[in-house]
Amino acid sequence: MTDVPNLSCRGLSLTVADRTLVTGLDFDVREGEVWVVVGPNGAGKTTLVSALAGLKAPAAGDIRYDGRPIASLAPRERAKIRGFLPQESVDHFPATVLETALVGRHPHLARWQWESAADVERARTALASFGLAGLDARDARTLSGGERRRLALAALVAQDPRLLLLDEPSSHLDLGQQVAALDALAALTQGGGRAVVMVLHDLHLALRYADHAIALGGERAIAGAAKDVLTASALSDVFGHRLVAVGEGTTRSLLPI
Amino acid sequence: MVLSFAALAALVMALAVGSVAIDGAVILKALTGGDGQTETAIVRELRLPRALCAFAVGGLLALAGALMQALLRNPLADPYILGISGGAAVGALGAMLAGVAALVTWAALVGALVSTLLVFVLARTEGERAPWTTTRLLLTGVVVAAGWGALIALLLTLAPDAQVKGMLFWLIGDLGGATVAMPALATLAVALAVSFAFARDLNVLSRGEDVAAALGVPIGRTMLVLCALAALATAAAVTTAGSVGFVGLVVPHALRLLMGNDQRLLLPASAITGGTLLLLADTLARTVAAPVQLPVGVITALVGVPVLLLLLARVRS
Repeated sequence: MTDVPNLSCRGLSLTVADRTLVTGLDFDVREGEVWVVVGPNGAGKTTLVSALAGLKAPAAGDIRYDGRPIASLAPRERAKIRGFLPQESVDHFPATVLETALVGRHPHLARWQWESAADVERARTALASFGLAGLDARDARTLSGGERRRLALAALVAQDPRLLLLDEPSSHLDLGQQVAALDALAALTQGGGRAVVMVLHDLHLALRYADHAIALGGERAIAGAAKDVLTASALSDVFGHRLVAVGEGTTRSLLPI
Repeated sequence: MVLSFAALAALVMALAVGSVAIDGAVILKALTGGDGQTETAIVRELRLPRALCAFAVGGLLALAGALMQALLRNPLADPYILGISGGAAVGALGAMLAGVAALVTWAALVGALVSTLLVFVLARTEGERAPWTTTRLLLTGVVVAAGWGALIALLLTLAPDAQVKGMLFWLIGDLGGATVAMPALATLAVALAVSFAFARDLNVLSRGEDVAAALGVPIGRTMLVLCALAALATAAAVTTAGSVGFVGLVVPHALRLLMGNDQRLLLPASAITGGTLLLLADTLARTVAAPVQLPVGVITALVGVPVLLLLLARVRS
C-alpha cells in the first residue's frame, strides 16, 4: 500500500440549486478499498460521485487523484485514472455489444488510432466477467435492462481505471446478478492498485461489500470505516427513520421498523 | 472501395450521357488534354465542372447530415435542421430580387452563416458541460427556420413573375448554373479530414453526454467545431446548388442501417455515397425530360421521399 491515496477529498461542499447538501467533507480512498455511499433520496449521492469524477464542480473543496489536484488534469488524463458509471446509460444509435464495450478504450487511444487486438481482448475479458461472453455482435439496444447495465459496467472495466466511481451499479439487476456484479467489482480491488466508490441503495449490499462508507442526509455527511458508519443508530439519523440490524455474515442487513 | 468505384462509374456516365452522346475514348481524350473538337469541349467545359459540382454538393450535404445526426443524437436531423438553408435562401432570393445576380452566391453564403450564428447565439444556455444542449439547438433551429420560411414566402410574393421561376429553381436545388467546382470540392476535402479526426469522439458521444464527459471528450469544444464544420459544408453546398433536399437526410440514415454507426466508417461513406447519388440524380435531371432540364432537387425529393418512408417503416417494425 502506498502513502498517496487514489482519491483524497478535503473540505468538500456541495450545493444544488442553492440547497446545501454537504459541507466540509474530508476523506481518503486508498488502493484496495471499497467505499459505499448511502443516504435517502435527494441527499446528494449522485452529486457527490459526479463531483468526485470531476464532472460537476463542487461549491468548495479540494479533490485530488494520486495526490494531484483534478483541476490540473486534462479531461483525457482524468479518464485514464478514474472511470465513472452514470445512473442511467443511453443508446442513441445502434451499436454492437463489443463496440459499446470498446468505447471504454477511448481515452487510451490517440486521435487517429484504431482499437488494437489487445483492446478487443480487454473488452472481451470485461464482457465475460459480467456474464456477457458470446454476445459481441448483438445490437446493444436489443438487450434487457439488466444486460445493458452489465454492458455499461463492462465498458467501465475495459477503460481500466484505478479509481472506479459508480452511481448505483446494481440498479436494473436481479438479486443474483447484483451479487455477481458487485463480486466482480470487489475482485478488481484485489491487487492492481484499484479502489471503488459506489452509490448503493440496498443497505444489505452496502454492509456486504463496503469496508468504508459515506452516509449523506439532512445536510450532514459521515465518512469513515464501514463498521462505524453503517450502524443502525447512525443511519437511523441519516434516513430520518428508525432502522434495526438483522441477520449476520453475508445476510446482515438494516431494516426499517 | 466499392463505393469509390461506384462514384467513378457515375462520373464517367455523367460525362457520357446528354443531348450529345459521347463515347469513352473521347472522354478519355478530353480529360487528358482535349483537341479543340466540340465533343471534348462539351466534356471539359460543360459536363465535367457540373459533374464535379454535383459530386461535391452531394458529398457535402451527406457529410453535414451525418455530422448533424451524430451531434444532435437524432437520426432524423439533416443539414438544414438548424435553419441554414433558410438563411441562405433569403440571401439568394434577396439578391435576385434586388437584381444583382452576380452576388447571389455571396448573399447565400452570408445568409447561411448569419443563420447559423443566430441559432447558436439564441440557443446558448448555462450548461453544465457545454453551452448548448441538443434540445435547445433543435428547437431554436426549427423556430429560426420557420422565420426564414416566412421571409422566403414574402420575397416570392414581392418578386415579379419573370424572376419567380429562377427563385423556385434555387429553392428546389439546381445545378444548371453550377460551373465552379473547386470551392465546394475543397470544402468537402477539408470537412472530411477534420470530421474524421473527431469521429471516435462522436462514437463516444452517442453513448450519452455523461459517458462521453467521463471518458474525456471535451463536449463543448467538439460540438462547436463540428457544428461549425457542418454549417460550413452546408453553406458551401447551398451556395453551389441551392437547397437540394433529402440527400443529407437519407444517405447517412440508410448507410447507418447498412453498416452500423461507427463514425470512422460512416462519415467517409456518407460523403462518397452522397456525392455519387447526387451525380446520378443530376445526370437523370438533365436527360430524363430533355431538352427540358429539371432541377436536381426534384429528382432527389422524388427518390428521397419513398426511400425515407421505407426506412421509417423499417425502424418502426
